[in-house]
Amino acid sequence: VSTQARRLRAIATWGAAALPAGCGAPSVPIAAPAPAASAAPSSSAASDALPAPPDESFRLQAPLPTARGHFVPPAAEVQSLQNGIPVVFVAEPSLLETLSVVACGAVSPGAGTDVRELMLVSMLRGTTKYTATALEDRYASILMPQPTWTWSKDGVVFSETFRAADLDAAAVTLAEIVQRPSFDNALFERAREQTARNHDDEKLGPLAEHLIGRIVYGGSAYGDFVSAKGLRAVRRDDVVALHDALFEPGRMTVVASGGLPQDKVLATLERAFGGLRPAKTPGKDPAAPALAAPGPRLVVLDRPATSMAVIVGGYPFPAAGATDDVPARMALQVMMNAATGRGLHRLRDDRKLVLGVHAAGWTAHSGGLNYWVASASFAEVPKVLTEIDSMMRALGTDGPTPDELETVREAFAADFVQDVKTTAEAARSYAGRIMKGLPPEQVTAEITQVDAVTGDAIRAAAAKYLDPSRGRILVAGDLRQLRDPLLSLGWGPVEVRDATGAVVRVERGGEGR
Amino acid sequence: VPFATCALRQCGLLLVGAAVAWVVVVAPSPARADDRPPGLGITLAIKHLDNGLKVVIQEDHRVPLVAFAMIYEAGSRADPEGLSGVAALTSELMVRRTAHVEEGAYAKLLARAGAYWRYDTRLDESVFEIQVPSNQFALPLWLWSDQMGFFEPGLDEPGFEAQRELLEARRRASAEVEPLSHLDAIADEEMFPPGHPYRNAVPSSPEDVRRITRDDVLALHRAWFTPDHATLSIVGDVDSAQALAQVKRYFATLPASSAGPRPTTAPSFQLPGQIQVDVVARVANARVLVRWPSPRYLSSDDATLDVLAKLLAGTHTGWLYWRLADEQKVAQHVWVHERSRALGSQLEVTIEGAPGRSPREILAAFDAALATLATRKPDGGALRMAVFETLGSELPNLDDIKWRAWRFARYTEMAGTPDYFKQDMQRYDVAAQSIEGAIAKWMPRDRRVVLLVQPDPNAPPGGQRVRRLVVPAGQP
Repeated sequence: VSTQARRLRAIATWGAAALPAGCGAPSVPIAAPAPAASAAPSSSAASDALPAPPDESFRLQAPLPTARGHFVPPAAEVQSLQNGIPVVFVAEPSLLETLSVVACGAVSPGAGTDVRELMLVSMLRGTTKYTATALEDRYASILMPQPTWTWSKDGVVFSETFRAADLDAAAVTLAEIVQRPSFDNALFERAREQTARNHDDEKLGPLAEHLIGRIVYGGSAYGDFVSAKGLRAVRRDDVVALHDALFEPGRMTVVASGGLPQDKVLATLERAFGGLRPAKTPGKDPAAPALAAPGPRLVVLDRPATSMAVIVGGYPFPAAGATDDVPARMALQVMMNAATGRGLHRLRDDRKLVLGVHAAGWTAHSGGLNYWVASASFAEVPKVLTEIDSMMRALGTDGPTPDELETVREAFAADFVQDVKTTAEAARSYAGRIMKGLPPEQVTAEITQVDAVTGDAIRAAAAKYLDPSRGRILVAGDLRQLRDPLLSLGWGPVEVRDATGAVVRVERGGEGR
Repeated sequence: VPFATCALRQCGLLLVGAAVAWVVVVAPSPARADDRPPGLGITLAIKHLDNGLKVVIQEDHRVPLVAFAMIYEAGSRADPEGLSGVAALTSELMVRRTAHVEEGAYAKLLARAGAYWRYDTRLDESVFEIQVPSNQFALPLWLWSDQMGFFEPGLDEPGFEAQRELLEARRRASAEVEPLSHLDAIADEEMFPPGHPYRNAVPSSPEDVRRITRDDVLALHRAWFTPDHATLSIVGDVDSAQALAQVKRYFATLPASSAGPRPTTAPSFQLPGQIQVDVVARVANARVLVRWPSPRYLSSDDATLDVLAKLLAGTHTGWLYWRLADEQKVAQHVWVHERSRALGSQLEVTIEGAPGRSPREILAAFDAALATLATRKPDGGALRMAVFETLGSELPNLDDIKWRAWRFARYTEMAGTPDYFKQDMQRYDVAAQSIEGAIAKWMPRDRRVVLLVQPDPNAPPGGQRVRRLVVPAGQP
């Protein structure tokens, strides 16, 4: 009898004595494994005189957590440069420091995401003072890669992470990139072509996730997405105009995350960014994005050569900071989280209709988009859609179970800690909120909101935001095989779109929605 | 010494010095307090439990999180010859259910704990990672010790079959959506001779997954998913002594394997010549893949080839990219990558042609470009750019407990010690003389594997080999 078999037997005996039935005891009795010589250490496998095995009853159930302390996010304090640029200090003792430059300005139809992305790429290709190579030398001198950038529907961010001793060099480099990009024409054209090539032949999954924004928000700013065609249409003048509009003190904020003294950082930033002057004519505030666009519930992106469908269901969500923003996002996670979602268990484990599901989305100043993604064979698509429809309605009626509520709450609470794990993450987290027009103390408000969220709040949010009649569903795959099954659902006509999001035609045959 | 003006070797030392200053590497005695970065506490020397489990712990109390990494010497190279996917399926099954962890409870308990987690089977190892709030410290230890010591009792036939079917379906779906998903397997089969551990394809084919039995999985688990073939690394808001006591509680009584140490060398081989394979795939543009065997991970030549890859196709220098994409307009994309592996690496060039270009046209342009670049010696600026493009993104990661946990475990697995960051960085103190001639040395035209990918809308999913030609070395 192997050591492992003896141990398991002992555990089963001790465990039964130590644990009251139904209180942590495994639901399936532990069977001792068949003797396996190879699994046992050779020195003890055949011994008859073994010492008493240790008490290992602790293996029978998951260890209980120690008490979770109330997480207090790093203190954020706001000061200002003389030209009015706010500086948000996030106190985060760390190995490294991070500076993030935020420029706020909502995406608009005339200056869409294509222009935004190309502007950011081009800004790193050299300034009026430094060529691209000279910039690289500056990064190398502080042993760091080039600044990272990101954009959202509400603005753009450049960030650099560096050692405390390199504060001056990092701030000056970042300021140079932000204030004086050369936008050299030849380099701009090369950057445009390289960036566009990265979007050529986009894979079906990512393409479908981009298109769902266009379908839900139509031609408004929130429906905009980066495409190869759009990028190739961008002119240098568009990029320069957007840069001039965004990077002026009235729209900028600097986030400084780390352990350096504030006065030292402030003095450095004053030298680096203090020369920026407000625009003579302040940029016009872009119009609020349009409301969700109406249209048929079912949309197909026709891809004849495929044999699996990618399905994306998208819903317009509340704006960042809205009272039901957190419960709404929690509701979608309860349904379609990639590891614990109700939909995963129902669709993958019980019905074996899909290989997996996941949920994603974004929240912006004036609205948001959340969506779920699944893939299935063409024949299974109607069953998947029917199941999800029914589950969404059930959540809006019954709400989450206590276990689901606890799980989603803990996951959201842990995200706050994760968000400040490094200075770079802390800066990103605060910059993201600033772009959305939220104050730094919003983090604290959200932590309180997550801790206080109730099952009923999630139920109400599900009923309001995940109501199937508000959602749009994109099925990417072979239209010839999808058309009739989708029409047979009786969910109304099926809209056919191309990869740019344009409506090609509408297939009819079903009843109304 | 300002980096912009320093000589390369000085810069290399500067880099190493900076890296060592940031990372309190695992050392037998604690570093002096004034050497420590803020927030980092004491560190422990690597600890071997009696059953062989290697344990690395580093305290970092800045945020209430703990990151765990467990690396098993059980990558797909441990798969039985001719049957790939066993290690990958074993990892999946370990997460699915073990004796005391019910089906689905792994994900559920971790989600409920607010954890981040992932697992992955690669060529050389299987990696499990978890990051939890520090009040949940014991949970990963409980889950992973059950995977290591109590896997077999939890593996019933229906559960095995369900997971095997799921993996098979995933592999099939991947081939459907990734038109080039078979290319790595085709290239590896051409590169490595029968019996070589790297001949097993990653990811495995659905056909292979279908042939795997429960006994295959159990045999592999008994041999390699054991304490003596594993490293556990813990970084974060923990007390080292208490953490080690907990590790001993959960792991010390688990039995070692009888499989013995994992081989550290592979059969040597030399390509007989240029192996040229015609492939059809559902892609818009033609592609050419060229691969050469190259030195093992952590060797100095491996680092030289990392840097060469950046010189050829990096964002900043990109000799090959400029030539093929900008000047000649033959290519849309050019990637050069040194795929570093424990038993021997591969240098890989992938070129996506411009619309309308044929694979042979692309290959001819590539060969011509390489011939002109073969004797090129980079100037100091280009070399610095290439070195920092290779390493620059690593440095901010030092701030991340999750990354450090994984890195310490990987160094322990590959170099026998977690204290290897300094040596690793020093490899990149590459001299211009090392680069000069590296193309001729490591990228010979007459000993390589070439895949010529022709677009074909009717090709099978994943791509298919249609013709193979071997031109013996030395022949035109």
